Amino acid sequence: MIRIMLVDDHAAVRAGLQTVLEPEIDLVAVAATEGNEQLWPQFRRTSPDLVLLDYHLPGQSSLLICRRLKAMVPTPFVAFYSAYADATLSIPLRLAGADGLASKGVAASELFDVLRRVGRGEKVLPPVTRDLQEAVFGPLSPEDRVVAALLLDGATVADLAEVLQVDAAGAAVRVERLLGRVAGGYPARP
Amino acid sequence: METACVVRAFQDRSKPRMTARAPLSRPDRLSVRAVAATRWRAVHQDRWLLLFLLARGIATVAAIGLLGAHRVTAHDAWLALGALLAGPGAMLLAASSERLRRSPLAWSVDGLVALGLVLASEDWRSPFYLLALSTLILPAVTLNLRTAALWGFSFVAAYLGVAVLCGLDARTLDSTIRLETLATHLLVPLLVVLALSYASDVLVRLRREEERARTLAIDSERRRIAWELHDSAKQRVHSAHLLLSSVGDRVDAGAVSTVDQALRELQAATADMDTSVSELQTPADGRRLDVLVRERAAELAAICSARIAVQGDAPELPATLTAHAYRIVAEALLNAVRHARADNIDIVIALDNERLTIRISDDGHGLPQRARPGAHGMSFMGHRAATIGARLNFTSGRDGRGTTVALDIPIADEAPR
Repeated sequence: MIRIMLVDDHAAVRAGLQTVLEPEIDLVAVAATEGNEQLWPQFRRTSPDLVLLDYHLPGQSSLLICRRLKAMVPTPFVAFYSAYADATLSIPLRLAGADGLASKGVAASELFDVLRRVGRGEKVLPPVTRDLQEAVFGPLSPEDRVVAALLLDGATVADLAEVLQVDAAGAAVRVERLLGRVAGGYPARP
Repeated sequence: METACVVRAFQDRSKPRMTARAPLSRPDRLSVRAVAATRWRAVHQDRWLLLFLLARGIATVAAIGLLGAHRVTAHDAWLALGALLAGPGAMLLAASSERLRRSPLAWSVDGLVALGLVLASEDWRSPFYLLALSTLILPAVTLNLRTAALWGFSFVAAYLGVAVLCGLDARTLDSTIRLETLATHLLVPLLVVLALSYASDVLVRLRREEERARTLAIDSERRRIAWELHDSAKQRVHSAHLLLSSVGDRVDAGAVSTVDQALRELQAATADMDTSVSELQTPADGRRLDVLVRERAAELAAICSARIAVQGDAPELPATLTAHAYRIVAEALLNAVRHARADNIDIVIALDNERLTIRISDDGHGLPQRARPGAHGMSFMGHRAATIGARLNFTSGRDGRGTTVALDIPIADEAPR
């Protein structure tokens, strides 16, 4: 059984997800929140195995939330859910440590498949291609590029701290700043 | 070069962007002719014509009044007739023809007639001085400051010439009062021209700022609507699609096709929304499909090394059809640049037998063997095509290289809406 926490700012999406998950015996929605200040208390209380996280949360950075979720113990799996899911998200999601990506436009069965595979520990992310890497890395500063490359190779914050010769908090700040720069791919609120 | 192209192509995502381009930069790119046109509109809006008519009327009354009160020359009656022609006559002409109002030739004739009257009155302190001054109003408010100043100087020089012909010489200027009168006669025209030109310039600037503010307001309104469409409606449609897709295996066999149909409709609805969101962000503004495609091709060609050629024209089509067809072509074009890394892309738009066909062929990597996970561009294109009843075909070359996307749109009985 995979215990799932739903994070989406749209009530319609949360309600829809809860309804479709209802008959699935192995997928259980244990919490649903719009994020913000409710997110962390709910997370601690329910301690889900998997968090299904809306890519675009107004006023919040979903990539940062993902990064922080992946720093929790026990560590949940994180699958992103986006109305604009496509290959270009693959690098930002990997940098944030995400495990999966599902498009909001897919049928329920396809979403369940992604949730089950992520729940088994699989990575369900679009592949990183060379041109994608060039597109994302191009505008970054040389230091950011180093951090990004290390993260893509699976480096932990401790590894980063060692390479950059800063303390763990300093390395975490560097990662968060990097995530702010690679985010995007979503219309900004006017 | 290629890297730069891919980077830009990625930034220039086919999905909705919130940065509107053209409307923002338009006011900065006003051509010289457009500036002249704005200035001219201002002549109307700011009632400069009324000022001209009023000044000319007063000048005529003053001239005839002075001629009546004093005997100025032996031919005062003719002068009065001249005043009536140059006064109400010019007023009628100016009020009736916009071309005359903005014609430098007409201004010159007007000025020369007034100076001629001054000359005919045989004294530079003439009853026609006000009339001559009023000929400066239209040039001053229509020309820009520098040209208007030049016009004013020419007038002053001409007036000085007329004054000399009227017998102005060193002896006349012995008295301080006469010198002061001459200086006034020569300086007032300059002041009039500069003051009017400056005022008109300020008003034009104000108007342009107003227009710019209005464009910005429309723009932000567009973005707000786009946001709301995306943010709320699309999420709900996605949710409905998700819910419906989860009952697919629980309905009886007879209802399966109905559910499938509803699912397709919902998917088409999100494609519709994507199109209208993009449409709000980069509006077609009633431009034809081939014009839009050419613009997009030029945009992409400018940021990458691929050669993009567009052939053929499209007829006027309904706005929704144009919008969907354009988004499909734009997506295909971006795919060719972004994923297939094509060097040569040819777009052929052809109209035959009530069908519009658009073929986008490239010499890139060809179609992927398996769909890239998370890539929905092609299926979105399909949904869009279905929405307008078009056929969409993807084919790869024999050796797996090159891709041809063919869009076949039925346009019979489609009158522009």
